[in-house]
Amino acid sequence: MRVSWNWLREFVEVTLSPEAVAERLTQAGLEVEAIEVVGEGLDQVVVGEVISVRPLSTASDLFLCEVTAGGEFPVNVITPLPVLAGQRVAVALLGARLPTGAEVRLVEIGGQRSQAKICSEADLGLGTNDKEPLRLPLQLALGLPVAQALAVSDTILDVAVTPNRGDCLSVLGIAREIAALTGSRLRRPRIRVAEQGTATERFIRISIAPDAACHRYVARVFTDVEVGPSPLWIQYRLKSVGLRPINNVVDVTNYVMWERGQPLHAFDYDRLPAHEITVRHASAREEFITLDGGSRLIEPGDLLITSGEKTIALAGIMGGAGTEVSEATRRVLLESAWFVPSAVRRTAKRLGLKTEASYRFERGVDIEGVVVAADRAGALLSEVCGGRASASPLDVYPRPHASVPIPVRIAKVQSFLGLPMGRQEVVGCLRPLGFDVSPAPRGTVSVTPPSYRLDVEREIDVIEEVARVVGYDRLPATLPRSTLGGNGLGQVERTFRQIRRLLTSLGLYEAIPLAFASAEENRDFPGVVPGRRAVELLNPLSREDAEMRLSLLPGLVRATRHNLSQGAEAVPLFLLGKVFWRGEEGDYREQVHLAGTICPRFAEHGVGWRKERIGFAQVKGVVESVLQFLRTPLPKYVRVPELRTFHPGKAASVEIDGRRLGVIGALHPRLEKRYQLASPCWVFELDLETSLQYRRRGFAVQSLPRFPAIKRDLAVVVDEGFEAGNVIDFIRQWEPGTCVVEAVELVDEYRGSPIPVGDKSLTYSVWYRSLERTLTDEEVNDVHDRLSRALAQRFEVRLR
Amino acid sequence: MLEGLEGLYRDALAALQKAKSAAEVERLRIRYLGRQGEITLLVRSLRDLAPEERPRVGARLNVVKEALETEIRRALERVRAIEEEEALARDRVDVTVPGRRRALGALHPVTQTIEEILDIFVALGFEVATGPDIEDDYHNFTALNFPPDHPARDMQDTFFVDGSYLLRTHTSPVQIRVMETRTPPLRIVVPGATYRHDDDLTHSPMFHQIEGFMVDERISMADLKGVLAYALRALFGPETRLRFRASFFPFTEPSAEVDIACLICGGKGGECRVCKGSGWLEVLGAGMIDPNVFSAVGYDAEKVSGFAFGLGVERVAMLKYQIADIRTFTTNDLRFLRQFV
Repeated sequence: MRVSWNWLREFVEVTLSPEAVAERLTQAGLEVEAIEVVGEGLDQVVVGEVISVRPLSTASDLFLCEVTAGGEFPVNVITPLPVLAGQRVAVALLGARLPTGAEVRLVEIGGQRSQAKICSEADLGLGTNDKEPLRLPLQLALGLPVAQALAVSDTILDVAVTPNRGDCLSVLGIAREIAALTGSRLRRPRIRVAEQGTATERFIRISIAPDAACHRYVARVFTDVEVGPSPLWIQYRLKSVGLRPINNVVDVTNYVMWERGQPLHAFDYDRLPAHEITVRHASAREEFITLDGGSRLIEPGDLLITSGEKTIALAGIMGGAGTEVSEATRRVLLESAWFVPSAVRRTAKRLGLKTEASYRFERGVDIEGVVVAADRAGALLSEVCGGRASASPLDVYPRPHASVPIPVRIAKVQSFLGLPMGRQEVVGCLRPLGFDVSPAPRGTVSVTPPSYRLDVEREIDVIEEVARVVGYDRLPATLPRSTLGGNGLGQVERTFRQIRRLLTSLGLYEAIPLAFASAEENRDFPGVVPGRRAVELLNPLSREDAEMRLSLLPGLVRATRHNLSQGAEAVPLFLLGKVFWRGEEGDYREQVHLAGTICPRFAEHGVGWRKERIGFAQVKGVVESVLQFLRTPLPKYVRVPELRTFHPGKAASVEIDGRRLGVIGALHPRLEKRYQLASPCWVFELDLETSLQYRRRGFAVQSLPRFPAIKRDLAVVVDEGFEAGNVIDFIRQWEPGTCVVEAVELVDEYRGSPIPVGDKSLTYSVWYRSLERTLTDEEVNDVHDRLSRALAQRFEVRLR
Repeated sequence: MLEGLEGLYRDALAALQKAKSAAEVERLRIRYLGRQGEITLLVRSLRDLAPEERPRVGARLNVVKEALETEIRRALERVRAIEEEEALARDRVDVTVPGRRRALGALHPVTQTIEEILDIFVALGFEVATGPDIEDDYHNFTALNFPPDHPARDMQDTFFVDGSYLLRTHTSPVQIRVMETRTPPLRIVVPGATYRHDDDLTHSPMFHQIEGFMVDERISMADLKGVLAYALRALFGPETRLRFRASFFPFTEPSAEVDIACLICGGKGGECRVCKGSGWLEVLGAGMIDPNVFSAVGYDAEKVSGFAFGLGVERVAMLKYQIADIRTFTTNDLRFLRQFV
């Protein structure tokens, strides 16, 4: 909320600078986000009169004028603005520096000199109109600085008012706060409404339906109103706080709203359907045209202002086009009312119609200030539109406000704030805020907040007020005495940290993309377990981010594409994060996954790495490292040509106990193309949360063997399609009898002469060991021969 | 016969000392001790001497011969050592050739910042808890004292997934989830992703928060100040100046915002663009847990009290590393990430 310093000073006698006041307000919870000086640089701009005007030349759009600013001789001015002789205008003298940054210099065009500048509203930083001269009232003295003439020299404080402080959404509210915080005196300018003879009840009848969310409705009628532009001082004051001047009647209602925090509405009295007003909730759907021209659908329950059974306003939000004040308006009905915040909010929110009025009603206006605001508006309407006020305004106020005293324990204040303070100090904090404080028994005081402090209901709310006035900076800082215990990081967080570090050591960079995905991405990357239903957002920012990711891959793919487009030649990324889906019962599920993309290779240092292409084995190695770190049982890697995300020949699922924990593979070339990736784009994704369940914790070491192992190699020639893991699995479970197979490893894979085309040679090393004795060569040769024969029997392999 | 012997020996020694290669030493050995070597010839000529002279001359000759053999052996060792050194010196590598290795990856700055902050609080006895990203309205708002139809809900633009579920707008719902299942004393920190319907230079639709709270008997606002001052100084440096000021959050009363003196201008303000001239940077929101929150979880606000705080991880990282655009975090440009190795 923007407040004018000049305006504030009509309500509070403050000697501090705007900066000092801003600091104090900020400390007390009304954060001043900006301090803006307006009307600066206007001291060299004065009121002038146009004496004569003629076109500069036939071919030019420029005018040559003679202008006087009193006293001295008239000066010549060349201007593009359409001016007329006799007008009073703002004249910037030579050397003046305008708020726009422009400096006024002597110019010569077509042999004529321009010795000053006639300013538009925009030139002076007072508005946006740069097509017309700013026209000043004729009664202003020539030579008077414009800043002074318009009272535009001002400082604007931009205050962030939190939702609990509806009472501060006004000049008066902030003035009250400044007075309390700085010990300044509050001013209460007297308001006098010039009433005419006729009583308001002769013009209008007001009723509030018994169940209506309206606790007070004040009305008065103004006759002989002349609708036109507001005086400049009202216009500029409204503009300076960000409001658009419309006409004098509407401007007055806005002016008083800004000053008092009470939204007002002016109806054209003669366009009311009947001479009565009823405040009630809608009972049926209806279409309603608001004064901004919009068509609104009213739902049953919305709070309405009606007249003669017809809706004339959405209570507290906006009036209707049918009763809007216009140039033709002669009689005005002024409404000042109090509506229940939640009722206004519900309708405003549903209609997406947020107005300055609804904003204030939602946050609660002062029910005891409704009449004063109406009076203030009445006084101003008489002053600026010539309106004559009806006598005895109507005030329907069925349930007057009753403040409830709050008992506050002084000891509680002390212990809660950790600050030793006595009763007098507590009272001294509260009274300047307008709280009524009276002594009460047993170390308590009875505190009654003013009617505008709807946020103060409980002892704790009062304690906060004390803390605010004392200043948080003056509270002590202590470390709490604490009990031992606590689980610290916890097992899971610690494991995640270790895995992240493992992956960075393996050469992967951690990415944290948005957790959203498009519907297309979720279709292309359905996750470790395809077929899950994605979680859709009701109000996504864009189609691209319309759903929650089913897989970590879309985000990694986006990051990969970005990096490739930036010229990266190796993009190795990983991500440890959640995936989301809807469960069978429509419930929401989330699970921590670990995924990586390596496209088209790892980033390395040193000579020669660019020539290397990485293959499935390197990516599988990353997954194996993670699972080895977790000490899971050895997984099975099963070909998955059916997964459409992957190259049908280059992908595997990672399975433990027949359960799929992850996938590894090259993306399908179709997707590499669709997502503008380099080829190959290797990826893996692991259901980390489930993998953790297979984690082996705690174990006893195996004692070191006393007898040596003996290694034998075994080379077989097989068909290209033969899977090397078959042999490993077979050897692992093979029982030689006299000793054990301790380990088996595939150590070489060879294609080429003398191996026939379409075949490959696989070389395995096998380690045999006995736990009882040192094996002899003969023994091992015998065992190894038997193994070779068993293999040849089991598989289509030829021994080399 | 012995007259020339001393001179011969001295010449041989001098020549051996000058020898630079094994070949040269070998040539000298042949010259003196070879089949036609000078010493060999002298030994051979012993038989020309009178028998009574032979033993004396022979013994003398033998001494010189053995001495010379030793010297030759030594010379050979010496020149071999030199030759070996020279050969090794020629067999050398270019030590300026870069190391051959997989480039070391990096943790994302958001992760690094979360770890740093969690470590500070863990050292103070806090423990880590987590909760779901897709949260229900009750835990995200209602239980945290955001009544339905209250404008405080406008403070947090929300992504909805259906009428009653949403993407959590803060990590505070985990406060409720922890308190629903456990009893005080509690010291908890909650890292996690949070979501707001917002996208510009300083707002990302997804960002990270660390929520923390402490509940026990007689926790005061002075304790809140003490703990947060300790943590912020651990994070931003021991000399960091702090400012606590009043604010509003529905789930705390009193509520506070905590500023640190601007890291760029040192709190001077003026033309500083980082703090916009105020000299202060807002780093976290905090407050004493509102009694309504305690009632929502069945705690007795007359028996326990506590404080809670929430801190934006990206905000902290932006301040620490002078990052201007919050979207830098989600773009994951390697040239950015690599700087955090």
